[in-house]
Amino acid sequence: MVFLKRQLPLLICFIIGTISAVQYYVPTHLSSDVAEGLSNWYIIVAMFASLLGFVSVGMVHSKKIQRKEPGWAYSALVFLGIALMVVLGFWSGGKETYDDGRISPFGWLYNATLVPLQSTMFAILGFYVASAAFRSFRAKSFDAGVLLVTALIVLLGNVPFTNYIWATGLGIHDIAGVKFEMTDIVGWLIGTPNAAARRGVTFGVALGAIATSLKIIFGIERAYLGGGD
Amino acid sequence: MEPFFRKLLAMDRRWIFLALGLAVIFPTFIHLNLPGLKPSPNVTAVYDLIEGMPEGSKVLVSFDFDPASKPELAPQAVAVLRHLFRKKHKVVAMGLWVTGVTMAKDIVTRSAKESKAKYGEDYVYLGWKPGNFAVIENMAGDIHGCFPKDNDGNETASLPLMKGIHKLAEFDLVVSLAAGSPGIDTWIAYGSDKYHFKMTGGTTAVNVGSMAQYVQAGQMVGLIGAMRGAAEYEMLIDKRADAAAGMDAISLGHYLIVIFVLLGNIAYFVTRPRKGGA
Repeated sequence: MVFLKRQLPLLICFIIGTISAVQYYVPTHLSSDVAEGLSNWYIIVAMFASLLGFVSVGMVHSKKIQRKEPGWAYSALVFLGIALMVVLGFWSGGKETYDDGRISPFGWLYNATLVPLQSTMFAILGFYVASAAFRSFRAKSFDAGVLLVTALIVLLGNVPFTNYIWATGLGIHDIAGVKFEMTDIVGWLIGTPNAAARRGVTFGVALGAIATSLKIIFGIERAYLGGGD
Repeated sequence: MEPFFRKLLAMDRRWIFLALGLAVIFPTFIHLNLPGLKPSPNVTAVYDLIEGMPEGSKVLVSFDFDPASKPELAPQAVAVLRHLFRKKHKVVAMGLWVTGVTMAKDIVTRSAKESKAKYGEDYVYLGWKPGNFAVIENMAGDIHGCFPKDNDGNETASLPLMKGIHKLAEFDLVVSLAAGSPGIDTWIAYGSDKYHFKMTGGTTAVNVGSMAQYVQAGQMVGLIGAMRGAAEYEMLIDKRADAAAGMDAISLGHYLIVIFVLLGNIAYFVTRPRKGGA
């Protein structure tokens, strides 16, 4: 049992991990075939993972309903939503629109629920950003002041009308031969200090991912095997 | 002045919500048509790339977003598709986000209908497949194997357009319209960098900063950023649509947030305790 629970997963992880890493640097047909085969396997495993996620969500919410925990009615809504989507999905043959162009019940449910719900959730962020900007975005220190000024420039520069006032109203196009329109300033901010910081973050994340992957491949990091014996 | 600013700082946040709501709704009823919009170099680069490709070029458009980002990315998609169909390019559409499948199909179908493009010959919609980056890896080797059927259940191999496309590298261009990951960075890391095809794309306002590095490094050609980018693209193809109409609302929203930030800071400096004060 220990072999099945511990050694075998570690062995599979080592072999697949090593092959996946090595094949990236080997430009041959065999390597491409291996990559395609592995990606096929990944897709199959991902499907099972989705199923596992579905079961997990079901268990969490069914427990909430059973125990009548606060907000259990929302958990009931989760099941209702899933059931409705699945039933209408099968009823519509998995199609959003019929061949004659009519929208199917499945397509209607998507357009009438998911689209407005997701759009609303995202739009609400705008309101919270406005409120947070008013209450929390303070120049309490020099660093915060620099951030504040930069943010204001980017905010204003992203509005075409500001560029119009800058170029037409104030008549500023260049300074000492260097283009100095509002869009140029914003472009420089995004393309130079921002891109430099982003690259730093990207490199950091990539190095971290490589280190973690190596630890998993070589069996040093075993948290993915789960706890217990 | 101090009591006024103290009152201002203690203001119920619902007043802020109301002000922003009005700033966004007002221009949708009364069009201000604020001037100043002109195509940026990044958007022009995307336009020039599509404009410069020979007629009948094969283009893959990946809808890597869901309805949450629809207001920003759908106008980009519509503008790019209009341009692609106008130039008689062959479009294969798909998506890496499951919640965007129906929305993407709707956008593609409507754009194709408007351009009188024929399904199977001028465009194909493959739909979605689970696997995130693995789908890209899979398509790099065999698109028909990865998508044996299109979104409507037709055999992919039987569609005239797909008969000439077997691998990702056979596309003349891949366009990823992405709201996050999987998206542009996934297409670059697992697709264009390894299998050498041309990449471009569009993204939301919050992601423009992260994508700038790929444009600078030459890993993608140009970038359409947010609704403003879409409005610029509409300008380039000479077809004002949703993005251009939404720019007034975006502009007023931006100005209002700037005013709130300034007011908040003025109030903070006026009301903060002085050194040596009681």
